[in-house]
Amino acid sequence: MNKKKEPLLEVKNLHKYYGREKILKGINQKIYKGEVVTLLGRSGSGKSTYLRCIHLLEEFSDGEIILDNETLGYTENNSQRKPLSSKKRALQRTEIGMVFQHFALFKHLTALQNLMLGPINAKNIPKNIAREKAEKQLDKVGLLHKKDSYPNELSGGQRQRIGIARALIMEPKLMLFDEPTSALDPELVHNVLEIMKDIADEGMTMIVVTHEISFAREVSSRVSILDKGKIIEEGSPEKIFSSPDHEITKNFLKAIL
Amino acid sequence: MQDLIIFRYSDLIWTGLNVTIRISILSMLAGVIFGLIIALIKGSKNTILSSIGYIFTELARNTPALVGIMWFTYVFPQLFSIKIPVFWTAWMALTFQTTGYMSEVFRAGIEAIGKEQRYAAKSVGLTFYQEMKLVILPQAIRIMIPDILNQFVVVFKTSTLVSVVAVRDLMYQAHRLSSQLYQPVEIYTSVAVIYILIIFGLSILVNLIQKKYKIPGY
Ligand SMILES: Nc1ncnc2c1ncn2[C@@H]1O[C@H](COP(=O)(O)OP(=O)(O)OP(=O)(O)O)[C@@H](O)[C@H]1O
Ligand SMILES: [Mg+2]
Repeated sequence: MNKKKEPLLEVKNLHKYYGREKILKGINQKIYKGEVVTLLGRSGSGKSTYLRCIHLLEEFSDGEIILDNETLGYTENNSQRKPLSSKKRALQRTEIGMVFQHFALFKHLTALQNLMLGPINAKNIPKNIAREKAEKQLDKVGLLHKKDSYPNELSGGQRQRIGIARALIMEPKLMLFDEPTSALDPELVHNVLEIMKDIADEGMTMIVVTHEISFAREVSSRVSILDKGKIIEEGSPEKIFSSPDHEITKNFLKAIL
Repeated sequence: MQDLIIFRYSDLIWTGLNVTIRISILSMLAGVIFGLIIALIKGSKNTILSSIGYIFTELARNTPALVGIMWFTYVFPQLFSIKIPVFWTAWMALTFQTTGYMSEVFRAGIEAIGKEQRYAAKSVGLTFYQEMKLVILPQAIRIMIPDILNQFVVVFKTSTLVSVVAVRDLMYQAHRLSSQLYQPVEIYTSVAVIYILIIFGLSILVNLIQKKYKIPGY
């Protein structure tokens, strides 16, 4: 049998407008299981918007996103494109985890409650089991002793580790990281990157927007360059960082390296 | 002390106070519920829906309270050819106004929570309803408590107007006693003290509630 490997995530011709402004102009990307893709691009190039579309946090006007053979967010009915019900979309979002630049922890909940919210309400997991899982997950990011702390009682690095744990506890197929360390003090960055590296080593498929070039070099299997809403260049870290094809990529790398 | 008119006619005062408190609480409750609904409608992506929400709010906030009370008492029942007790028409008028103000309080409170919290709520698989109930409103409520309390005080004060359409509230009983006994100085002063004491008590209560629900490190 000549069985072709299926991508875990396939993005086809993704278009996104904000009002009249076209932000994403036809993104095509295939990401295979276990891949770690670093997404680079100038400020305003559409990196966050791209991740949000994949996670169904924003509507998109055209194109298709397929995760594990399932089309996300919309159905096609006699070539009529229709949004899926909000319940169905909520369920599809649980397949993907997201880590935010400014952590976005639920401020009125403790670390433990932050982790338990999704499993209990979106997956109907009983409270005691959710608690056990949450404690295990907190332990994994080294913060079990902070389980009863509120986000504002924690340091930035601790908050982000909880943000990661909150995404992981949903057991997603794909993890999205939107500049997870750029709001952190330099001495706290390392710790968060280590955890991300561990997650990658365990085989998680990841898309990471980051300016941490060492992470991109060592951990990612592929680097994609986004410019003005299009992926202009993709390749292995060695290729992209040593001999990029595109002029824009060269200039961009010169600016951040 | 015992000779004070409000003590000699304490049953009348109680009846009046009872009506005042009932109409205030009921308008406030309805105003909070409808206000939340209008706030969600105003936040809708559907521009027609959200415009309706905004028009409603403007109408509710710009109608003078007394005009509203008159309209709901003398016009509204005629429009539908039904009979409604004045207590309920006055309640509608107070609720109408409160809904307008509360919808703005809720809208501002929800907006203050910020986009990332909403993204995060969706990210862990919550539906819109769960997102509101479990993430947005618990945080927004803490921000809104001073405004909600303030609105309750406004409703409580505005409720004195319902005596004009013969709802038998505290103010109505005061009028009646005063015209029977010709003692306006004592009666209106005592009633003023009652209103002020209640409003003062409310403020203290709200302060306590606010302290209790403070988020550590917030
Ligand atoms: N909610 C929004 N409404 C309107 N325009 C938006 C919105 N969010 C983003 N944009 C616009 O879309 C474009 C892409 O923004 P996006 O945040 O995706 O860029 P980015 O690559 O993540 O940038 P950064 O590196 O600064 O985070 C920008 O021009 C931005 O102004
Ligand atoms: Mg961004």
